[in-house]
Amino acid sequence: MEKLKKINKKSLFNNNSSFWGYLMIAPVTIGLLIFYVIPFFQNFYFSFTEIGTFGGATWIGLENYKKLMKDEQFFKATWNTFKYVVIAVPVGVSVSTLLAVLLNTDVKFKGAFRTIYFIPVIAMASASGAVWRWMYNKDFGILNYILSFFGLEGVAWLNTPETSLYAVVIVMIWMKVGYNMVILLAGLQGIPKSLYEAAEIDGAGKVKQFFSITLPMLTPTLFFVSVMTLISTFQVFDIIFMMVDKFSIAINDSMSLVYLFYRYAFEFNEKGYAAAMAVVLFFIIIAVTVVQFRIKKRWVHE
Amino acid sequence: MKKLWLLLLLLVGVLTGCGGAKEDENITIKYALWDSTQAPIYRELADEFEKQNPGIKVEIELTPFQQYWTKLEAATTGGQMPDVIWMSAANFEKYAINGMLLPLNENIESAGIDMANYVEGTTKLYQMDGKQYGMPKDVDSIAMWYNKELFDKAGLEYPTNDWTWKDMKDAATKIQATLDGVYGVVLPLNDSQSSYYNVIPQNDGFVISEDKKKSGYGDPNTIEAIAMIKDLIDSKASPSYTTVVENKANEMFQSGQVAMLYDGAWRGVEFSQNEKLNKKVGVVTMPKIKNKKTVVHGLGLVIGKTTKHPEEAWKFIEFLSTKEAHEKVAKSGIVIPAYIEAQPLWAEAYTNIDVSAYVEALKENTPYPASLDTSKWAQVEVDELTKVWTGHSTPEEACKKIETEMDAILAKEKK
Repeated sequence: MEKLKKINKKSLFNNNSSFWGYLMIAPVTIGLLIFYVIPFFQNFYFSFTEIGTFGGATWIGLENYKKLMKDEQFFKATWNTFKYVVIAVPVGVSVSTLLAVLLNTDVKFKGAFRTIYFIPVIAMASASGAVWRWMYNKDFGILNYILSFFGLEGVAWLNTPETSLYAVVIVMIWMKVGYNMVILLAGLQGIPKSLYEAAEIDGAGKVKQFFSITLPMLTPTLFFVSVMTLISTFQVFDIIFMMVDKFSIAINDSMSLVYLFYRYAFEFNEKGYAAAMAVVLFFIIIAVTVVQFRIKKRWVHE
Repeated sequence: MKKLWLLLLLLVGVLTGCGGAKEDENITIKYALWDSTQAPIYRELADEFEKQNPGIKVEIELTPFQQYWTKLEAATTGGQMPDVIWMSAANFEKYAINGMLLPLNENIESAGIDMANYVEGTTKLYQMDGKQYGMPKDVDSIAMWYNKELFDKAGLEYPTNDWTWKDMKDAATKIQATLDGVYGVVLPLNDSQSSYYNVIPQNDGFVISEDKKKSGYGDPNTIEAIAMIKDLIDSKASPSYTTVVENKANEMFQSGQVAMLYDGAWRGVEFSQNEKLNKKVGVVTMPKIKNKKTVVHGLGLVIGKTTKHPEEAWKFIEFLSTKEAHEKVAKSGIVIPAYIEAQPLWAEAYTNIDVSAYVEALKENTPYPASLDTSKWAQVEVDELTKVWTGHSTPEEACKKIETEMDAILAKEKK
């Protein structure tokens, strides 16, 4: 009885296992606090200020936001970003799903294929960007070279205002496909084989099986993949920066919101204005994610 | 017993440390720069300086260019600037206007330095409100490269330092018409310093007024200069802007696709080391329009306000600004020194190409256009001029737009 009393009396930190638990998560938590949480609130604060060249923030209230509302380039960049999302998410997720399904069957060299599709994910954006940039080159790129065999004259894909965004989004999808595919593969493997066997017995063909079993059972994973891809696509910057030259005539038609943020924060030194942009982006992403969660029950099978 | 030995060891360690610190009564000044190829030269110069000035030590702080400005800004914000710093025209105003640099007028006077020894354009870059904040370190000028082989093939005489714009245009048109798949001339339009920042003053136009309050894009001479460049593209003597952006002007020149190239002195090192190229090329000063001015940029040596050793920092700058120090830098062939008499040594460092045109070009120079918010109006320039180069706007329209927006930005600058 006395031993029990002793254990109950021990406080939070005296209790051995809790103490070690907190200690173990402390590094990550402190890191998150210092590098994510606090800067997040700082950024929110900065968006209401004008930041001097060497520090010092002067409160200017809603001035930055008012300026944003009149900024044509901000609207253009936001519109571009929406375009990226609307193309990259459905197309990317569909392609990943298809690949995952195909690579879940008994094809030869399954492992090799999975690796090949995953390599773009681990390649650095700067390397991928440089290679693709050359492929898209108007006079010497391989893409236009192949087109010339069909008698078609290629354009400067990355440097023509009309085509630049689409050229970039293709690379964006290419970069992420492998990652989503791997996650979807895991999801596929969670589907009980017995469902397929039962369907087979009932006479359902492969296509019917896909739409009636695979897809519905995959919806939780699809939901996860869609939300993650959506959030990361809204934040795209590095691949655009790598592929579309700063001096290109197409830069205004392909720059994303984060690209414009970078320009204002680091090239123009208007960190307060840039902070306001980041806040707007945050709310856009939150809004879209909330919507996604709301409509989740309608299509995700749980 | 173990604990006792440990304690003893610690004590010895501390005492040695202490002893060492007491001996070192030297003053250390930090010298911030970014070019790894120049760093060894400056180390040698620093060693010599240390010999001549016992008690002062120079610590070189080399930061790659990509991070240099961010690091300097952070150091400045934190009150920990280096003592002697490499400064560029684009960043100078930012630091000067916020009082982060020490004025050097008194130092220059008491040291008896004659500023006429240095390239005027560069000296002017580091002045503000009548105060001199930096000692000119180096200069870069722009000149015109030509490909001898292509000129031979087209049956034309090589360009000379006396060529006019018309001479150049005629040659370029003829080459483009005669040789298949070859352009006559290319100006790197994605780099203002190597292209239109020269053509504009050469036509007696200007980019920004000397008091930094007015844009020069409303000046008819400026507009005409832009139109002249556009004309080169229209007549096909020059490649399209998109081609230049995608393939880089100097790379096109190196692969023999264009016969003449406007480019800066920095290109000398690359071209002279290109074994396939260095025998086939020559350099002349840019063709003359109303004059042959080259835009001149150049780094300056400044003293950070937060320095604890302003006298020593100045001593080092004074040392680096002597003719001998500049000659040493010149002999390496890496950059042209700002000290005029030392400049021919730079050209002599090149054994396989005659690059003296770059030194010759410095005789007529104009400072690189910059102000406090350079990057903002430079962006307007780029946005509007790219429309001109690609045919989406006319020189008049675009220049008018640049003038209006640039004036607005200049008006908002803190004065």
